[in-house]
Amino acid sequence: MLDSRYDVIVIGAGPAGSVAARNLAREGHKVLLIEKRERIGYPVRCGEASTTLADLQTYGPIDDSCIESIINGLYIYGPNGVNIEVPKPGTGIMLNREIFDPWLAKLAADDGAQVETCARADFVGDVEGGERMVRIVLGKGNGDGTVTETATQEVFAKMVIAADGVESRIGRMVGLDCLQYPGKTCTGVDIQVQGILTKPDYLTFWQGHDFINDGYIWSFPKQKSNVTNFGAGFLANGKHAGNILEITMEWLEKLFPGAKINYTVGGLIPVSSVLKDYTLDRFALVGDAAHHTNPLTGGGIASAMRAGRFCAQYVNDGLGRGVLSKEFLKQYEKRCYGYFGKMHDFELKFRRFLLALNRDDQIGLYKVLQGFALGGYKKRAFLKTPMQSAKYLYKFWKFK
Amino acid sequence: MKKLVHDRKVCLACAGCVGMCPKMALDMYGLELQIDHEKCIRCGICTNACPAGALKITEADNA
Repeated sequence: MLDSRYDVIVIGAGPAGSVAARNLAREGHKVLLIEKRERIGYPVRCGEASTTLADLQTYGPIDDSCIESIINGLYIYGPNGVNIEVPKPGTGIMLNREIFDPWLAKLAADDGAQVETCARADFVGDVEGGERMVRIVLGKGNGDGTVTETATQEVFAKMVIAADGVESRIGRMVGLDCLQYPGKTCTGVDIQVQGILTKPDYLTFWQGHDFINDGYIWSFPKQKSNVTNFGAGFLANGKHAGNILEITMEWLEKLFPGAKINYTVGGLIPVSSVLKDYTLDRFALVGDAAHHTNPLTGGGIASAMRAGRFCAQYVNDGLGRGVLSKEFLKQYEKRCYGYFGKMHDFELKFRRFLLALNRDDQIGLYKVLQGFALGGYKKRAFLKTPMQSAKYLYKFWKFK
Repeated sequence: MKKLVHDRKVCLACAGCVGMCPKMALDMYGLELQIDHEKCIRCGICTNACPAGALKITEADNA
């Protein structure tokens, strides 16, 4: 049962929403966290690789049950056989999102947030009398993933945080431009394959003109479950219109003939870098909805959780002082931009640069990067191929 | 008259199409896609967004 008034309503119980809800509930605010799906974290829409454990644990220790394995390096298959190996102990972790997402939501519930599943935000109103109205459609899960609507309720809150992911409907309802545009969004599929296909503690990628130039193919082994997430992400610009799953299946068959497929999931990844404007009076977007994903790698779990924390911090502050204006909440945007947004803008430029190169130039760039990796990531490694390094640096600098 | 058609058997319920629909004509509830044919402008963006090819714009026979 829902009350009619809350301090904060968080829409969407993914990593961003759950972290924001938990941190606000911890401060003693009355928080409602709603999730429209019957089961939090299902279906998984993710390759499940994340950055370092330390990066995720700023929020608190991650339960062992959520962690599949620790990643100790990257292997990138580039064009013309120029492959790059990047050994780096502890550079990432493989998560089990089916366990991780509900675990995060449970932490929020344990800290006092009211968590409701099968609850969909249907409409978010303008600010009236210091509150926003959220119309919530409640439902009953039928056990097979489908939900039957049972009731509609209007609930009021001093602050609404929308963490509704790539669907980003809530932000658009209140007038923010958070639409996922073709050419600025990646479509991805992830095929769960039985067994470990590639080096167990490495993330393996295939990129460039010889494979997929509009994105990359990945193989992320999950050691505990003895499965591999094999998938691919492409820019959704119509070039591969509607057959991304087919192309990925073809690559799986080509690279690992006879692989046994457990199931397939899909998803969209915003790769436009952080939105320029994603707060309003008593309203903020967080996570994928605010395009808080890395535009080069497509990773977004750590930045979503970080953003959830920052958002909770400023909202808590604002609730205390009684100011939750757009101007005030801009501080949250600035904090996110300073922390990861600036880096994401740089990575966006690098991705656009990399994808724009022709095959020969791409091979050249891969060689320079390979030298850098072999040279132990020291800047002086670039000096071994000064002409080439300078050429690409100049090209990159000139690239608009 | 063109019409947006959704193949439930192929759909991965990833909701990618929802995020890219410029008219908010799509919504995923539970694992089912709901299409508002009145809002749909049959632009075809969602058919490109779908990784599985579950969405198609077809010529409806009797619309």
